[in-house]
Amino acid sequence: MRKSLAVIMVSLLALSLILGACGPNAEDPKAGEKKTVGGQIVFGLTGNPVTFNPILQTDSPSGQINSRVFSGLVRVNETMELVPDLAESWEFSPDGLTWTFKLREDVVWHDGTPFTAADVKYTYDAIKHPDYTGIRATDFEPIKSVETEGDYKVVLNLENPYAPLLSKLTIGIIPKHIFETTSIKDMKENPACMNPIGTGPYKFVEWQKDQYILLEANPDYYGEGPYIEKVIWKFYGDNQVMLAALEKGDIDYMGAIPPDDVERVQNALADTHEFKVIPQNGYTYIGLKQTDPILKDKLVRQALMYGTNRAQIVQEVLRGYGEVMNANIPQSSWAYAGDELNPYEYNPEKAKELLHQAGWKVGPDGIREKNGQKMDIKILTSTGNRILESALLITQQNWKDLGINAVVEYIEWSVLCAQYLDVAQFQAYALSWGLGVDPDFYLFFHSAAAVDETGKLVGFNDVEFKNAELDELLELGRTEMNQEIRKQIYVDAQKIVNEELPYVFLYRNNSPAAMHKKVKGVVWGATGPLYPEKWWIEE
Amino acid sequence: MRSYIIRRILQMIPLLIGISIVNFTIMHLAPGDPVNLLVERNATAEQRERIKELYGLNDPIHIQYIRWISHVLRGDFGKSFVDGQSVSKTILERLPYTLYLNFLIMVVIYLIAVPVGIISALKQYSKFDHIMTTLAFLGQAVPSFWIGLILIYFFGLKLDWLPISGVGTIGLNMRTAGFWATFADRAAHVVMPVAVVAFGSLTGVARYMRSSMLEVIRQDYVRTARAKGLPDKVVIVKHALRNALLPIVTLLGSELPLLFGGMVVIESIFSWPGIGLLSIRAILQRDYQIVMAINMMGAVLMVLGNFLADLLYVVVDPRIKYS
Repeated sequence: MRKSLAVIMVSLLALSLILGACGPNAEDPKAGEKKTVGGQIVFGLTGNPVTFNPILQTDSPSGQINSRVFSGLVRVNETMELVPDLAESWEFSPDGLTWTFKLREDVVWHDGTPFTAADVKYTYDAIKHPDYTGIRATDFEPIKSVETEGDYKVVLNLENPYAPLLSKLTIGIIPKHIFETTSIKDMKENPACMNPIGTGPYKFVEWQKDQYILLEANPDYYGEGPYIEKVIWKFYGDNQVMLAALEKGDIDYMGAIPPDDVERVQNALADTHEFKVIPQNGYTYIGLKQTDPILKDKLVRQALMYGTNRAQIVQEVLRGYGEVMNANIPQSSWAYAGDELNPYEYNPEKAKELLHQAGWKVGPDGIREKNGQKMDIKILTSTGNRILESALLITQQNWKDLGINAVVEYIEWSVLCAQYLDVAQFQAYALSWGLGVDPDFYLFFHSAAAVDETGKLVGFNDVEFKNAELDELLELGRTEMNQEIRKQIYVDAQKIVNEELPYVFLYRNNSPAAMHKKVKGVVWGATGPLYPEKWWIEE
Repeated sequence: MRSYIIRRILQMIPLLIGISIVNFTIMHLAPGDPVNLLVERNATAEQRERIKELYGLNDPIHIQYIRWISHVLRGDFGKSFVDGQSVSKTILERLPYTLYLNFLIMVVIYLIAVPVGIISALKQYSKFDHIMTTLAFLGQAVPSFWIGLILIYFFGLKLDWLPISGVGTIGLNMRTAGFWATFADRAAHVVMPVAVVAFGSLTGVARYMRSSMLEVIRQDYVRTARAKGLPDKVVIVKHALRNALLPIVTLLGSELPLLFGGMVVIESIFSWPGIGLLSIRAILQRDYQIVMAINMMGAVLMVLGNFLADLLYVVVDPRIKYS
């Protein structure tokens, strides 16, 4: 459709501008600097990857490797828009039910077999198979069938128009000729899950578990690059040791440097490393059960927002490496509502006034009460997150100042999920969400994503937030294909969330990352360094 | 003696069956359903049921146990739900690294601890003895992760003498660099982990040696040997030391499981790809099959180690007889 083409054109234009601006390094602005081929880049990792099969992958270490070995139909650019990758172009039928993708014809798998539409069909059908054991079945549910027309055209038939689907098509395509020998149930056991064959800029060479992973440049890559000859990930069992490895020069890049160490490391490595702040695509919050006798009152929820010193949390706990959140879509998204939201700046007086208005009067012991009920709020959270623990200490003190008796209870993750969150049984809980590329948040706050008749949680709306107006916007946001109109829909939706407050929104942390200056041509996107195939090394 | 050995071996069977039942049951009582590793968090009840059926997770727990144990007896610990790989293969990949590290540690501990213990005993309450006693308490009291980080900071970062993690430099091996360069590289990598663990544990062995030696040199036969006019060297080496070493030898037997068991903290800090790092990762990822296999392996070694220690007593001390 014309709109999507416009988006692509604009994105491509933006891309070329940014590449033009960032490509050759700042000290040497002469155009046409020679990109050298060769060299190596070493990354650090603390977790072990689980599988090199992008459709089964659930963890971020696997994701880092898979994103270099595999390619999807589309990819995300630095402004979080979707641009062509294996698909050259695409078209949506006017009713939004038929999506046609034209594929590149110059792509070969790392083993030399040509890439075709059959691989795409195989990948998507595998995800839709009932025996599939991964986490992407829901993402692909709207697809009714996948058809191929010739070798280089794929047609997706949808049940309903579903705009967020395009962002799910970033998933790496896996080779049919290698996986079709294994049943879908046993896909994990296929040797190719440990020894992957992809179409991406880097070929897998070897993995010594808990030691290193080595990739090498794919000379037959269809796009620009790759220039760097070898990509290595070294494993560390401990974050502090990984930091030492960065200082020692054993690794060239480290993301998420702990806030307490940033200043020291930045001073120590000022000459050799470039430091960037990578905003988290997600946020931390306190979920408030909307049916709870205390929390069902909107005035109380607003009082909690006004009465939590979130700016102090960002300053002191995150050492300034973070931002206060006022609703549920972060600044990096194209659908961010920005100034249109109430910022709920810290105002304990206003909070007290709201609580008073809601009928909660301070009792003789300093704790507010209403109709004989004390204002007790129990916040559950998982163990082991030091930053969240400190943030909750501040919150607890802030709420105590308002006359609320807040208790924080730390529970082991699987128990927290099994006994409280998945059955939606709690008064309040504090956790973080990681988000996808698309702003759609139906699963979080639509009333159909709350609990069903049997009490089972359907989506992630465990706070049981129900708002007819928001429901309608979220449904519309899924079916509308025009991005400008969608943006308006999500801005309106965020305003409702910001006003009604299913959560106390806390912060998102921006994690500082260090990249060695010998690595040139790095494009810093909203969620990290992008386009690794276009980087090169200048010793 | 033979009947004793046979009886001990027969006794191990019910013991190990018991351990395997407890091991299996505890893993299944732990919160968090294994099916959560196989479906997404908001999967429908039907999807969950289907996957449970497919992987046999719907069967009653005793059926699941029998299926598991019958495979284990054939040396097959099954496949991990997390990465689909054979559990036995995963463990065998890690075992050599742990054995290599632990063997070196044990050699270093005994090479240092035995002479230190002897000297401390012979020169009881001397300056040397006091320094060693203080160091002994220090070694026991200071947590190994802290010493590890301090060593990494000084020798790895500030002085830049030693590599801080891993078993070797990537791409450096016999083929690319020759024997001596490879040897030096591997040795440099192993120095710090060995030093940290040895510092923490050699004190225990040294104290053991010291008290055993002290006991022996007060015995009548040592006094007799001295009275005979034998030179000091002969008295200590031939008469005292031989007897004082007995308890140390049996200590070795009971340390057999330690040789195979990974050390979570040390392997994490020095990024050593052994059993310890594998087990902590498996626990965090809820990789049930691997955790059960490592537990089972530890139990078998513990039982065997105790058995071996008892047999060693007989070998080194003719007064002990089992019937």
